[in-house]
Amino acid sequence: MAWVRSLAARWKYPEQRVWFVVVGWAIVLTALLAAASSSYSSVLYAHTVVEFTPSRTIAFTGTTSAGVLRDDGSVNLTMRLAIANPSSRLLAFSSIAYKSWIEDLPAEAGLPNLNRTDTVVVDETGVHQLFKAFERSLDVEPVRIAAGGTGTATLSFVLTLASDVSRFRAVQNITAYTAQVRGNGTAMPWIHWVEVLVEVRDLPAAGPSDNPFLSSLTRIVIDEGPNLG
Amino acid sequence: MASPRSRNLRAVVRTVTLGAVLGLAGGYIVFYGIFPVAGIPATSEASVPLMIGLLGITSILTGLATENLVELIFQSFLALFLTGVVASAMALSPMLIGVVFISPDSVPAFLIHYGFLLFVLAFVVDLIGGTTGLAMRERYFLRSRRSVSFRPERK
Repeated sequence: MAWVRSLAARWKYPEQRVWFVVVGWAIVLTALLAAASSSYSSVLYAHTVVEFTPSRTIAFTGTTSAGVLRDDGSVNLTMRLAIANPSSRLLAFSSIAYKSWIEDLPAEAGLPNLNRTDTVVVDETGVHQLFKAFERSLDVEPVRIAAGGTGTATLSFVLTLASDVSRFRAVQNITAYTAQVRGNGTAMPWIHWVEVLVEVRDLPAAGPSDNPFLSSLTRIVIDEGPNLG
Repeated sequence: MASPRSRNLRAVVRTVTLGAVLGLAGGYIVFYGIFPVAGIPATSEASVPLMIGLLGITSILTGLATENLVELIFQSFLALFLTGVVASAMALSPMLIGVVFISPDSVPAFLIHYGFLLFVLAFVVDLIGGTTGLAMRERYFLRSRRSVSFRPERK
């Protein structure tokens, strides 16, 4: 072939041989660029496609027949966190934060001396006062989410008199009032917020001195529900 | 014998081509320096020897293919601009799959903010490596060729 002969003829001279090396090196650089861009794109893609589906249940134990929480009772919050990972990266979630509010009917009714701070929410149905019964952030055993797979974790949190006296007393007071006015103290609306930190596990973690954008690149923070503060 | 116009055109093409190769290396270095976790190899912190090595190899090779010092200086400045273009293109590459993570307008400012020293490093290494390559070309390529071509005339 003519072009092969032409190239072969050029190989004779040292300064033309350099051009072959330069072109070869440019191809290597282009491959590096393409690979790095692809890796970067796949990480950012993971940020946009990870889906978080939490489900929560609240269960009261140790209540009266009217649903009033007794001193030996407890409020159990069970969360099932499911994270779907359609991306090509290996992910894992290892840290969660959650808050759960119960509607504070006694406060809404204007009862005095409740000694608690509520969050006030105004929506189309009116003004609601909500008491934060659960609030915590914690590290959990890392749950791997393979590329194209789903990771799930079930976590339970219990509010008892021993674990948090002031919160327990507030919830107890709410159930007692609700039992009076509605007949069932445990049938109160709850609002939940949960945030999970998902890390990209097949990349090295950014160092503490790195720019903030870099550390946010390998950490995907997703939340669900309104964070009322 | 090529005409002066043809020689000038070839010089321009050569300068742009070699500047583009330097720009590829510089752009990769700036991107890798800012996002080492997405680089090849992926590391938690950017490796300075790797960056200098990559720039050094590229600049020496382009220096070997450069004909004179003026072209070398032109292509180093051109490479500085192309470094920004390549690094910006890499930072914006997720747009190809429909992901817009940061505003495209802010990418050049972002790269200059976090990669200013890398631009300086790339420019300095391009000049030093290019000069080294040019000197090697003078020493090994042209001298040997001249000795071959001029020998009969010296008789």
